[in-house]
Amino acid sequence: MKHMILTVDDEREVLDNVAEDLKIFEADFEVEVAESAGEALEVIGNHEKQGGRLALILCDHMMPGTLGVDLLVQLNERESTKNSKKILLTGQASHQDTIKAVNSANLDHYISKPWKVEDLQGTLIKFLTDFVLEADPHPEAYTDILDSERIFAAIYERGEY
Amino acid sequence: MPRKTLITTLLILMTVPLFVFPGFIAGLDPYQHRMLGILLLAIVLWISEVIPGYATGLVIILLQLLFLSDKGVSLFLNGPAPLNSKAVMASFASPIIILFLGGFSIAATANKYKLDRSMAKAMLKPFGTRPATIMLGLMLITAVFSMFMSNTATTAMMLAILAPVLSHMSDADPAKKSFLLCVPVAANIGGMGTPIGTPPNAIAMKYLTGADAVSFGAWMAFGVPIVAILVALSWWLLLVMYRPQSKELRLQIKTSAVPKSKQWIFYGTFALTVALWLTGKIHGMNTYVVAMVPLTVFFVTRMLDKTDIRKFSWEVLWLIAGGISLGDGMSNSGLSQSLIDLLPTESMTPVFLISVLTVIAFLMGNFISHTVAANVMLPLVATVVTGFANEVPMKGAIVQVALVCSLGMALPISTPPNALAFATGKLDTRDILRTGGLISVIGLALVWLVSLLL
Repeated sequence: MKHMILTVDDEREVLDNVAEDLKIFEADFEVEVAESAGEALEVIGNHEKQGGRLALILCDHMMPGTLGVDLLVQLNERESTKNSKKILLTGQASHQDTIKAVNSANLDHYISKPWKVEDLQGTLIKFLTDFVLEADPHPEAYTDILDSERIFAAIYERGEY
Repeated sequence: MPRKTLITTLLILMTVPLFVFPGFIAGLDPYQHRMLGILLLAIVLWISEVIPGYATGLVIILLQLLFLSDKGVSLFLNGPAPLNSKAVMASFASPIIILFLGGFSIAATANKYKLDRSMAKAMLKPFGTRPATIMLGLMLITAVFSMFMSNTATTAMMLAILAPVLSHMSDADPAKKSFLLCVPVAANIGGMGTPIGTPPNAIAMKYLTGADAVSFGAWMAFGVPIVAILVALSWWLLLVMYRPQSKELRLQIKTSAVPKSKQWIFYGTFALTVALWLTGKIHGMNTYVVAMVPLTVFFVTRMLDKTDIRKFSWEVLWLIAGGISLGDGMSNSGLSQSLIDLLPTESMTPVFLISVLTVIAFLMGNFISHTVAANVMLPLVATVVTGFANEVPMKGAIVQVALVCSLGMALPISTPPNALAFATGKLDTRDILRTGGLISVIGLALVWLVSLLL
């Protein structure tokens, strides 16, 4: 089962745009979207039942129902999503909420809307590389789209003389 | 149950009668029946990979202790036991294992302080900026490094160095493929150069004792020329098959600052070790004794510490220990001799048998781990050679088959270096098949020629 990249946003248009920008990852990752925190948890649960893991979540903050930051805090408390990379993609997170995301959700990165395609893709490449190096026994399988220099260097530094 | 598991289980069950009713093959005593059972079981387990290769190594050692050793289960003792339990256990600390630990300590120190990168940077300088010459430089460096470090680690390091350049290169430039191919090819070949270059060589050393003993220097005397010729030919082949378009290529190798004292300790110890390995005739220390020098120096000087001990590839050593123990068990139980007596030897010549075993080793090397191929094939080769009262020289036969295991590189799965390069997604199976295939066939001819001279 491929690892998953999940985008959560209540605006369909944003989801479509992000999905378009994340096409380059589709060969090696399951790219999914959800319109609310509730749906996100459901998608993650289903994916985990099939043996997959959440590699990275791109999350909006201001959404009806559970707020984005609160979803990230919840994910940080779940064993299986603790090490998933967490990124806020938002224009409206308050100072307080952002602090909470950093302190309680282990936020990895903050991207403000509107974003540039290259920035978004570059950020994802960096954090997905982190994830596969930490969580996947065969990081070399990702050298075609992620940071191959870092992956090969890590394989070499892992030892196995 | 998947078909593979089913077949494996059936094959494993078929070895059971050899343990339980040891007496149904005329010409084999009960101990030899059991040893044959262990041999067949090991082959099935190693090739099917139902359990990890190193676990199979443990199974071999345990079963020998239980069924064939003086301290085994008393129920299985039929007269004096052929194996001494201490000797069986000593497989774990065989001189060959010590030799590998010495090699590990050198590789670990170079890796820890990134001195291998510094060396690569310095060695690459004279090769300029033309893609063709840079490729030759990369291949020579890769080959030399893989003589002392694992082929996998060498490949990973070189691919990390190449990655930034390759990501900027157009997919249309054939150089992208030739550069990706040149590293695993050189790493696979380079392993043949020294006894510690790759595990099959170490396993070969086990059979090269007494009059057939091969020192580190003696191995390099035939290994390095083979490596040099094959690297040069592969370089030429890759340039012909994938002619680089770009006129210039610049490799940036990032190195880190290492205190002068640490550099001196590493380079000094490494140079001393190699010098001692090459001059055994003068000082009398053999290859294995010399291997203790770097191992001890690097830990005494605190260049390495306990975290580095834990990073050693102990599973490789267990796999080798299993192979060593299997070979010892076969000869000490007399199974080797009895098997030869059972064969219709009048109708066969040892040269023919060795050739068959060589071809099988080559095929196995392409599909399964080279170490496993050597573990399975070398005891059989040794059996044939002793069985025919050394009509063919042991040295030539063993070296030939061990080197041929390393030539298995025609498929992406053949070796970890191939798999790493293939994982980049920039190579097709066909690329590896035609380059690796061609190079390995040339290698076969070369190895055969060399083994005639031994």
